Amino acid sequence: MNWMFSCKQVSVLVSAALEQKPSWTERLRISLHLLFCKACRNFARQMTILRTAARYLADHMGDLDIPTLPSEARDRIRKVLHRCEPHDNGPKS
Amino acid sequence: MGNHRSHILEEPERWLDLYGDELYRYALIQVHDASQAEDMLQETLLAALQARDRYTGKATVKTWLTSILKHKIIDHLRKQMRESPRDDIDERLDKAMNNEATDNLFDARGHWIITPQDWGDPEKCLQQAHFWDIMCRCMARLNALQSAVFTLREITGLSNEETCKELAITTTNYWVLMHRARMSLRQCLETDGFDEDRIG
Repeated sequence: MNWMFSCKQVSVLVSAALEQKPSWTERLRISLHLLFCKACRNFARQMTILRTAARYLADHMGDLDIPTLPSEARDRIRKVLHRCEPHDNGPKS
Repeated sequence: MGNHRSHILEEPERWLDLYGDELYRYALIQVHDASQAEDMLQETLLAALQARDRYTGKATVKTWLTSILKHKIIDHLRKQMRESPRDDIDERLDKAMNNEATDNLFDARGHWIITPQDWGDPEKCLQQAHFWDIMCRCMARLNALQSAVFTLREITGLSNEETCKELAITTTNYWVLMHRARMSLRQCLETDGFDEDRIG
């Protein structure tokens, strides 16, 4: 058995490692490859960035330039809500 | 305490004012389609209006509305996946299984043909508006299967077991689709010139 993984194998294993922690021998063999391979180090970092980015997106939507609710849609939804609201149990002050 | 509960008695139209933008954006980053996101927001508010009596006040109104929306998103992604004709799904899964899509990334000895680029420090990377433009565009370009898996796992934040269960796919299919999605995204980010335009 060749102890050294190929880049192709490492790419699959690095991605899989985001789902399930690899065994210690696997980790050792991946680290060994990464130590000598800049391309795969870049790849591994890209995978981390993708995961971090997706989570960051959900948590920091407010800080990012993501479109807000268009005003036509807001008016339309407002009308629908108004129609559907049971006015007789509405709030009383 | 009941201070959350008192909020709920306000007019639902106020939910729209207070949380409309945020809920809309939350849907948009997961379904990548403005009119779908609008519909989901509307359905969420209507569902909340109907379930108003069952709101206990334990969670904030925002959390409560978000959890209703989350279920609508999961339903939507599941439907989107099912609506691709069954053959198509099987065919695409086959394709995904036999490495066709990533084989051309590596030479016969398993070395990269095009070297992955250094995207720089992850922290800095996420600070750039440019990165998010491309990231959102690239996520919207994933096929229905990859998109459903990636979104539920990474954005909606389900575990891998939950994602498999919601989409009714096997663990093997899940692993393959997830890997494909990541490979497509990184390639898309590189082709769209994320690394080239990197600042500092």
